[in-house]
Amino acid sequence: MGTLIGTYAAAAVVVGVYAGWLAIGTRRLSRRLKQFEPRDEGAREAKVFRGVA
Amino acid sequence: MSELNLGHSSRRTMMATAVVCVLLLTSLVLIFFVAPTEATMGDVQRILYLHVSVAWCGLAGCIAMAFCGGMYLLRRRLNWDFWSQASGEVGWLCTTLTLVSGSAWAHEAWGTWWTWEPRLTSMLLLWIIYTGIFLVRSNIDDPHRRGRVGAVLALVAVIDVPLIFMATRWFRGVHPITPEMEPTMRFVLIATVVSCTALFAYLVVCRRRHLELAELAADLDASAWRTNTIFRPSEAQ
Repeated sequence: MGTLIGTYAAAAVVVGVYAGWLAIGTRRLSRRLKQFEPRDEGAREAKVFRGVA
Repeated sequence: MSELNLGHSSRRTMMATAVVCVLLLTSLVLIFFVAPTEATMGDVQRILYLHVSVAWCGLAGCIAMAFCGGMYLLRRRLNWDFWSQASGEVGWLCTTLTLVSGSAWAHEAWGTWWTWEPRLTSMLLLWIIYTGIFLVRSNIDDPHRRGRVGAVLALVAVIDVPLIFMATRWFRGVHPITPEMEPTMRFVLIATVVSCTALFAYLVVCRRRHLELAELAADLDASAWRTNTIFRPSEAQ
């Protein structure tokens, strides 16, 4: 029984760590990228980033 | 790229997360409370439901990685490389879990953690190939060159997949081929495979999004650096 529980627990931990890393990383990147979004009052900045392909 | 698509799919993400969690919890209930106890091996036989499910996902990851890599070579769009890398990473994760769960079961069933029989050896080969592909990719900075190299390696790696499928039929070994199962056991196995496939797809989509955002951030950082360099007052004079 210990082998069974240990195997499922190990799988849950591995998947949980990976999913958590993805969630935290994606949120951080989204927040960082929000500062590049063009603002109405920042027309000059918007002109700069409109050219990014 | 004129628009940054940020945070507009959070509701869809939450719904997908909820669906995957419900499927996984349902599978766990089926595995531990519905599936009958196997006569010979007892409760440890329940590892089979996890082992077969992640093995299938590991192989599916390799096939998806190769397909998306091939599409990148045809279309030369980085999005295909993101899908390829994401599929490969989650496939590697599933292959690792396959080897770990298989070892745990082997120790109980055969009295040894590992044996060099065809199915196990070909699965370990796949894991080594996966690892090698990521090591090579991580040492290439240019995204398009990384995509080309990754795609070619993925197309080579996928050759191992039919070998794994047919290993128990082409070569003699101790790994079971297709054991007879009670209808309830078969139902639980299919349900677990479905829920693990849903988890696989969910993680691949999340990872692809992560890769896309990372590439976008790198592009914008480089662009902002170039802009600061051009307009720095001391250099303009």
